[in-house]
Amino acid sequence: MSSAFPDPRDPKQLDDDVMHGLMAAHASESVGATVARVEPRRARIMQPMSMGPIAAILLMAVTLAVLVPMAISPSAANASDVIGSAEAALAEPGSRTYEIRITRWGGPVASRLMQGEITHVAGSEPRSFGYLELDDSGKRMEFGRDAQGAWFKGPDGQVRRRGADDGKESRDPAQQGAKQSARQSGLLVDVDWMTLDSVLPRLKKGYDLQVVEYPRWKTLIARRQWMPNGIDPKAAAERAESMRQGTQPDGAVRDDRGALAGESRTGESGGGAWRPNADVQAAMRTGLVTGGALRGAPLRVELEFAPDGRVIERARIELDAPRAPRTIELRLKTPGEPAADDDIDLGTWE
Amino acid sequence: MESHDTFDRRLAQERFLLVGFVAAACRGRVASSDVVEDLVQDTLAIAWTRRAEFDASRPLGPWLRGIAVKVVMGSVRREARRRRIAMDDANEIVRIEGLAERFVAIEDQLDGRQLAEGVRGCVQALPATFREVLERHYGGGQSIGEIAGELGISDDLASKRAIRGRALVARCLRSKGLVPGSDERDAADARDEEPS
Repeated sequence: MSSAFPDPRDPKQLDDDVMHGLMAAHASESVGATVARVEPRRARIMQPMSMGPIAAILLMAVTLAVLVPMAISPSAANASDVIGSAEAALAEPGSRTYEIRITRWGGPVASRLMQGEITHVAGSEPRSFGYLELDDSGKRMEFGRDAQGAWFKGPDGQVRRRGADDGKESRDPAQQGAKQSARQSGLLVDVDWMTLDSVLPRLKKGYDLQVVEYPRWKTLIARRQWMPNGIDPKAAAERAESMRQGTQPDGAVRDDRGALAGESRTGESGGGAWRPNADVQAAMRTGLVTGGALRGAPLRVELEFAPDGRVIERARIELDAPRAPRTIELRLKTPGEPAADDDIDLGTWE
Repeated sequence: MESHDTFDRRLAQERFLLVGFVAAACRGRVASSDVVEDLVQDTLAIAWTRRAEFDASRPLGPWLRGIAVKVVMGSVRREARRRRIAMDDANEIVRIEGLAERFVAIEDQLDGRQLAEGVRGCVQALPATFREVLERHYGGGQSIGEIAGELGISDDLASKRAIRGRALVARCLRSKGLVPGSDERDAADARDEEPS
């Protein structure tokens, strides 16, 4: 394929490019733009200020300190009502498009991994579809969910589909293997966690919910009660109890040789009764746990609502898969807003 | 690993050459100067998060430019796709790595601060006709067409003044020994700069 750009090996062109770069850097230094953006706090502190602005800022600070607590004191709201109304809003006929940004989890300057869009279409045939682009490879991946379940199109152009009932546990290892490969061979994160209509129902069980409501906005914060690696005391206690009972996190019982209770072996008669861990099984039935031992469910979900209190404007879904923790951020696009592809700077969401 | 303060200081010292490199690498590929700023930010953010991987005994500039090459390539690919331009990845990498080598040669001679001072001095020493075009283009963010319209000259002349202005700054920097180059190059530049 021939390039539409100038010859990259022309030394004169390269020298002019270098000078162009140095001139751009000189201009950037002159206006101090980069300094302000790299070190915003330090740059602002370094600005000399006269007494006038300082007095104005002090007056404003005092005014805000008095007025803001009166205006925005949070009020309690019923979390399940909030989830219910959000689900109802999502189910109203029409479509909504969210920009997606996926970053590595944590840190003040988390690196962006992927960006894209997802559109939810509600009505007689509800479905979601969207795409993600990997930042540095230029690869684009399409994905979605419809009545048949979640699907995605891998780099090879093949559509891979996960059945609608795959969220339920299956004891058939072959089926589980196929399911895992469908989930893991293409997308870095499960489609389920990018589609709000599948996230919302899962918050109803296994999460501590908190609604912070202000006169102008409302936020729902969901924190997972179960932690797979025993980070918090409650999760550690659950795991200890599970181990004491001899059950695996999925509720199955294993003997000390690692075999599932009830599995027959050569030379042995099958036997042993199921001793299910009721809590774990309940969690799995609700779809909280899909495909793994208490893994995959978001650690924390934060939903920010529009002033109507029903439409989700922003969502932050923190996944804590052990090797690659990631955060999915969704932002509702208003009609006419340029596509995420045009809007390269996604770094000002916070 | 270096302390945060030390690393931040070194990042700040490298910023001039990093902005220069990213702007040069994006030239003609990415439309907006804001995008250049964003890519510099992305590079600095990645460098900061991965500072533990950086060997403090080695120079920071090449490491930063290694990150910047990937960041810029990602952006150039996206832009080419958006504008439906055919892009040859191999050629682009050759071009950007060629630029990186030239920046290494510059960096070998002096640090970013000295170079920034040198560029400032050389721009101030430019004849007014060239300086005006360069200041409007780089400082004011105006396109060559806008500059031509405001100055009442043709686009072609405005473009030539920008090119010659850059060449004069380059010659000035070479004469001060701030960037590598030869007398033959300056002689060739002088021939090119004869009024047409």
